Amino acid sequence: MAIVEQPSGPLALRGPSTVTPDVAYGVFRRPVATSGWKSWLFTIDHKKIGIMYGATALFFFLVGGIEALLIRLQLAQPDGKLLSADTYNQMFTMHATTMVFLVIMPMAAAFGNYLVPLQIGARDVAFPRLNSFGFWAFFFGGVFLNLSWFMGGAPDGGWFAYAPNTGVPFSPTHGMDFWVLALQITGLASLSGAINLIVTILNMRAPGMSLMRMPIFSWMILVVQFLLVFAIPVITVALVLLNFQRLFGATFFSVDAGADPLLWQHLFWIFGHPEVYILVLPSFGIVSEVLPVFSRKPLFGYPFVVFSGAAIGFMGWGVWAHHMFASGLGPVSVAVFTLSTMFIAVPTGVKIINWIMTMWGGRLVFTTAMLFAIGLIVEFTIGGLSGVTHAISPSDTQQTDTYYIVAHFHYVLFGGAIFGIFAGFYFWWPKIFGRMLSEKLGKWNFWLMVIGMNGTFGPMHIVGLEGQSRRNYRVIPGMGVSFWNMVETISSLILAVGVLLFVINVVRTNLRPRTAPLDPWDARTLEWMTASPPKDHNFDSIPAVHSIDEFFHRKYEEDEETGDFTKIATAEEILAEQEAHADAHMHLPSPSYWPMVLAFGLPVVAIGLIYNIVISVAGALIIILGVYGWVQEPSVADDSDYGPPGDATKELAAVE
Amino acid sequence: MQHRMIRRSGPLAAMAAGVVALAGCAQGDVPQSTMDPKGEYAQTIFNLSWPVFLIAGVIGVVVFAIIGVLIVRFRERPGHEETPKQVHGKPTLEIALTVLPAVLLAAIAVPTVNVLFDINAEPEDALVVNVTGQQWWWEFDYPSITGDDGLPLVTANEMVIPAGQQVRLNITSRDVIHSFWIPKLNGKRDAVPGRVHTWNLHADDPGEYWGQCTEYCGLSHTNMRMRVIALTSADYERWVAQQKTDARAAEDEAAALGEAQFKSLCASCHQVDGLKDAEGEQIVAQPQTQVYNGAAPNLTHLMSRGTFVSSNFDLLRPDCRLERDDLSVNDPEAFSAAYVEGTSVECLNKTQLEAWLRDPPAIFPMFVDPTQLEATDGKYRGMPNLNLTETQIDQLVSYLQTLK
Amino acid sequence: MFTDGSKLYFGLAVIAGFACGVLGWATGWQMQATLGSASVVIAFLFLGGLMLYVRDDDSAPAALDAAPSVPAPRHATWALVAAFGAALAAVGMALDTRLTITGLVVVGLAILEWAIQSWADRASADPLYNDRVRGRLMHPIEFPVAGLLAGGLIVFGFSRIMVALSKDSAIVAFAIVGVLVMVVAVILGTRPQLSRAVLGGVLCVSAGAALVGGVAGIAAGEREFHPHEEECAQRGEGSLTVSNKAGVAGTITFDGGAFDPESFVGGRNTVLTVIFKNLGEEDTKFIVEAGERDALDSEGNPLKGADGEALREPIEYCTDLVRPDTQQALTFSFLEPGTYPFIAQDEAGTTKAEGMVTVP
Repeated sequence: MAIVEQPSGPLALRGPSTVTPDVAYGVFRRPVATSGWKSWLFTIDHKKIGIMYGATALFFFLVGGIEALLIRLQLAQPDGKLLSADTYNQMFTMHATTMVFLVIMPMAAAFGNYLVPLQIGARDVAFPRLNSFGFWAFFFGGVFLNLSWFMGGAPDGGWFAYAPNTGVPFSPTHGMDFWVLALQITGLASLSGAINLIVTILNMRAPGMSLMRMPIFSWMILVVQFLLVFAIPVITVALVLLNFQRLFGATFFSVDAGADPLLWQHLFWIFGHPEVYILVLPSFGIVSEVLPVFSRKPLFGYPFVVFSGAAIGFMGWGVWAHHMFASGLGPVSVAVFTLSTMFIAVPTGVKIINWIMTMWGGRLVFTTAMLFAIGLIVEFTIGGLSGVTHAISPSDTQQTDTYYIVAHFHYVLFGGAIFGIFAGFYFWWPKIFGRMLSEKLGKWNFWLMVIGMNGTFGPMHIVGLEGQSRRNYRVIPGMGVSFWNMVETISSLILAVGVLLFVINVVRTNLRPRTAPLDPWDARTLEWMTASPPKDHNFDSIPAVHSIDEFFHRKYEEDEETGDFTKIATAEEILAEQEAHADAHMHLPSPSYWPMVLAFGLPVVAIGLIYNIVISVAGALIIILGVYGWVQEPSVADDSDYGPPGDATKELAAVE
Repeated sequence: MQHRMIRRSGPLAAMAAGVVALAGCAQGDVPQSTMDPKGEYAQTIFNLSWPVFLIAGVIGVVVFAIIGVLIVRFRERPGHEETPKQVHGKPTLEIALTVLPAVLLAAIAVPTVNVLFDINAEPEDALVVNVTGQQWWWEFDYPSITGDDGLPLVTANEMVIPAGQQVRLNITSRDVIHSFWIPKLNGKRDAVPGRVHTWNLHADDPGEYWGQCTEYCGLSHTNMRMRVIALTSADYERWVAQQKTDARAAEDEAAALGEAQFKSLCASCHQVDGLKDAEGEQIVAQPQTQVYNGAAPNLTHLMSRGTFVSSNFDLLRPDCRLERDDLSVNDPEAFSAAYVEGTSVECLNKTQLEAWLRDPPAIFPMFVDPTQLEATDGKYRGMPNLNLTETQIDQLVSYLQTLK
Repeated sequence: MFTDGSKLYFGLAVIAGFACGVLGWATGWQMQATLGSASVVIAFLFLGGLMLYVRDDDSAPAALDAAPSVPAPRHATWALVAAFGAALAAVGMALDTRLTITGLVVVGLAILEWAIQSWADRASADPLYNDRVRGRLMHPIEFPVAGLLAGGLIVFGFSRIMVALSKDSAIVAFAIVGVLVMVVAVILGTRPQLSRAVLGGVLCVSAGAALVGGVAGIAAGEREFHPHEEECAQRGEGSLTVSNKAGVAGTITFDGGAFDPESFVGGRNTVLTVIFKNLGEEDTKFIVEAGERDALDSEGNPLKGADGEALREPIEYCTDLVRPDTQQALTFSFLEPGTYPFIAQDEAGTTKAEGMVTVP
């Protein structure tokens, strides 16, 4: 096996010389495809990786959604018979795990990956191969987790996995092992992605773009990445403990060995609460981009929104025990966390006020993206207010672990995170694919989702206060909650139809493409200054930035006296100007197999830990091979230069 | 008493509760409603909650009204194509709108912390009840009350307390984490193995109060239910006196046969105080040999309870149950008297009891499949199917009827 | 059609498949063994497919053409290392198997390095280039392994120093070392112009100091640790856990004459952890007598006495000797209802106080 290619013959025969051979010697010939499925599989282009994150997350969204529907159908009537108690427990565990780790987090990674380099005027992320590794680790981790359905039973300990109920005697299938290891793998994905985006944002902004001129979405992504960098290690520690407890007989959570099961709860929620902000802040960023565009006004109080986001990022670390108000921490601890929890409402409220003030005095255009953004403000406000009602810890002892909490966090995560993501879909679809999603279908999509979501989660406030407990595989007869449970189930079907309309919209757009104009929304930020979809190298010339809404200020000129704005340039003109001054050389990193090989080794090791250590050895060999190949391979192939301006113009001409 | 004073703010509270529980009323009885407090602690919590609900509701309405106004007022209209004024912010307004909610929250925080310490304080002269949760039922013992056997009273699933008196709970668990919750009497408190958590109960009037384990505890978490029965002090004393006594040996023939069956099939796990072996010694149940968490309900006074198997099934026939539920709501004193009488032979829900004996895991999910007990060293988590014949079931029912 | 690399892996996959069949047959198709070996097959197939897909080895003919010049081997280091390893292995045979294994590992590594070295020396006529070829191949392995070894030795050395020192001086030593590390780090961080030689020197001296100290520590032997209770049938394992305060059911204080509280109610088969607080004048241990149970032999079967009766043994939970004004946690549970005594005992075994647990 020729691991190292020899330098070309003549050079070697020339005898000792000071010339160092410059032939790139990779381990194998590296992938070169620029089209077809190979160009996707081995890509390290942040845009393709972003799309793959999005597509995979959307797939898991449908999986998690089906799990949710099964749960709702089981609860449609008292004593539902659709699922057994065991299956139901697996179902709600997987629904939550899927939605949190395989849908919302990677969806934020999708938008972050795709948009951050474009928004800050960079050609790619700082570590493109690490980026690819992150995606594949998430992908294989997600597939691995769902394998558990077919390997003797999915995890059944709840997404919160409270010890000691997740110990082997109480959860004897391998489900929880799959859960622990899958979360470790996707944790690697999040961690590598986070470091990548932090380095990218801090180092690769276009000239003139100070942090306080950075688009708000990139800001929120930056905050989230810092949260990830600190939160993932905490859950990793907890997972390692649980892993050792289950597989190697450790006693971290064994009460008869003197352990305290609350250790798990603390570790889990120190991760788990920042995780809530990890889920919701990207959507806040999206909405903060969408609202100004369709209000034709800049974001109101940009510094306030930035600093409130950062404040949430800090304060989010000091409120974890509000998930444990009934755990018996003692009144002093509970009082402290009650206060910190109540006051984290302040920076969150600031955002809502700023969004409203952004719209105030604007010229509102109700596109689907805008509708979802306004929908987020309304639904998240409800979720935020119900959050305050159980920040009151004595009240929380009545409400925790009832459907009131289920209502609360679905308003926050569905009404907040998911609505934001849908706003992002409709807003950036023309940028990403160069095609418009149908606005008409989009509005149906929005209204069905709004009706469905409020019908599903709204009544949960009522049944929660009426004492319906969470995680119950059946509605107990005689509790006076069956009517609203039926309403919830019917509404969840409406919600499902709404989501289905989105899928139909996507399919329809692919079948009957409508080419998007270059600047369909009259947008304001840098990502709209390049072609749609953007070229591989994003920008022909890196733009110099002079203000927050750079693109807007290139299109509109302010009259010094009246303060009125008049249009001075179209998007096409701005793009042509850029193309005319294209950079002479653009080095882009080249595709690689190794990140994928490395990521593939992870679930193999995990399966080995569960079934037979020999498999782990095989997996470890794959990982070593991946690392080795990766180290050997120069990040840029020899022929990757995008060449002289002449070529670039040719390419651009083709696009037009 | 403090809670009496707070209750004078009744009308507003009722309004808030009414709004939230609107639908609940339409459907009649909501036995686990948190909006219908029946004791001091639940009332204190409720008095703190409803104003917050009200404030949150008002803020919500104001925010939505503003959004509604701006949607109408600032929507794009044909002919108005000019670019709006590019306002970047008004720091004074923003600071004001940041400080305002902070002040509001600070105002709510003061009573919150007060109530928090109030409901956690140890009451004076309280009846102490030890609460132990396990998969998937609750055990209660009364350390201050010694039975005829010289040991504290032990009962399961129905906790009997005197109405109007303070009750102090020491809550723990034998296996995983559970949570003890009687919504109409107080909030919830987790039962964590290895830890003893304290909590308080208080019921204003006699009655039957539903509760449920609210910390996910595995397979049959849903079915881990319990009730608190509040009695008048006189009836409570009668109940205590009756609980102190040991079970008597069976008298009629069917019951005697049942007793023999019970000794060979059930007594290894289920304790019946007063049940003697051939040598006249008290039979001490050894659940730890067969059950993973080492416990099974004490059945000495089974028929003094109204429900069985984690309060999931009625010991009372449906008509008797209706009658008693009616009393619980409309005539608390009569309810109290009726409860102490226990479940009479006439009212016994034999069908349900027989169904349970016939195949327990079929009607209550448990981990009792002998082929799947590797993780627990072959021990059950729950009650296995004993494969009883109909004759055995009849005899056992006859015996269980005598456990008053 | 098949490339060299893929042939290797496909061949290995066939062999592994055969082995899998044999293994499966031999173990009666036991799930883990079969699945394990099958996964090896899959891994080989995967790698073979990968090789095939990326067409490795296309450049092989060119490589053969290009290696005509054979400069003399430049390094004899690896031969020396291999010889040392062989000697070590030989000595080990007489003294200690672990030495033999170490020696064999050294020999193996040296041979690998040697082979790569001599292969790289022939790669081209440019020694600089040849060094890079070798570095590219071996550095990804050499640096992590060397780092791991060095780090491990330093940690081991430091740990030996810590256990050799007395408890108080260990704390002082730890603080001093921590401060030193901080100071050196600050100096290095604020003066990037410091030469690599100085930097390397400082680090080598520190590592050397840790190692020398470690050897000295081993020579000096470990300090005496507080002895653990050995007699108790059920030593309270809780006394070793870290959750000394978080998960306890309560605190029992002993003032030298009596317990407070003197009695409590504990649940049957309920794990309780209590803190025993010694406020007396002398070392005291806290014992809970939890009745008795069937004695078991080492295989878990009940022991029978001469008369065929099952033998019983007492269940006793106790802490270590707790020094005055300190405390220790004890975890215990009771199998049967009844009343059980708990006692405070001094070092001589005299009972100083007695209390009672009631188990309903």
